[in-house]
Amino acid sequence: MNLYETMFVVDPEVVDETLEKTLDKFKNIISKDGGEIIKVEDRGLRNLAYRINKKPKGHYFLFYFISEGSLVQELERNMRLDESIMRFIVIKSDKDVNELREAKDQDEAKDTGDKEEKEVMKKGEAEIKEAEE
Amino acid sequence: MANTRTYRPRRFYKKKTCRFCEDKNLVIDYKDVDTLRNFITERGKILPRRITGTCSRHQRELTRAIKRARIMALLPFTVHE
Repeated sequence: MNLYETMFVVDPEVVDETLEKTLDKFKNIISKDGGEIIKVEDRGLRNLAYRINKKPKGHYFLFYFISEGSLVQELERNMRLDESIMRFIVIKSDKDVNELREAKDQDEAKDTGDKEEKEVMKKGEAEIKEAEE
Repeated sequence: MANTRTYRPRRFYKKKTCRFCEDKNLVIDYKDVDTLRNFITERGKILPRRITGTCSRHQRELTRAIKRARIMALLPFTVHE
């Protein structure tokens, strides 16, 4: 079992729903054969250094996962077949698994923190509105 | 006639050191475009070791990272004027 990272560029014209499906598809491929996804990073839409399929932009994603080496071939094969994937790379990562896990936990904690804050903000706004009425 | 070259005083250079050996915390990663940009020309070519002072091991790693970044369209293969 090794830690791998895969970065891939998705066609920016792909709509949200299909994007979700594509991502889920790859996640399933990884987790199906005993692989474990450690971290998923959405690196967002960014300008490409050169045009690919006449498109100037691409949506970057980064997955970290642990799996057997045989799964990499399967993943690469599927990425090649998917037309919405403009570029991909799968490499053995020299990052520390535990560190990645911790970072992920922290991110999640931060996310919920943001949500709570938003809720508080919303409440505050509602109160102000009520007061105005 | 054999030696027409005139004597030129030798210039002294400050010895360049490998940035990645100096600072062990610096890692070479194909995703880290900002760092990699220091090691390519404006035309997108990889700078030689003699200019950047990188040691051979790290130059090798750099080259690999730059090439990976090019494939992922994070860095250009060439920049046309």
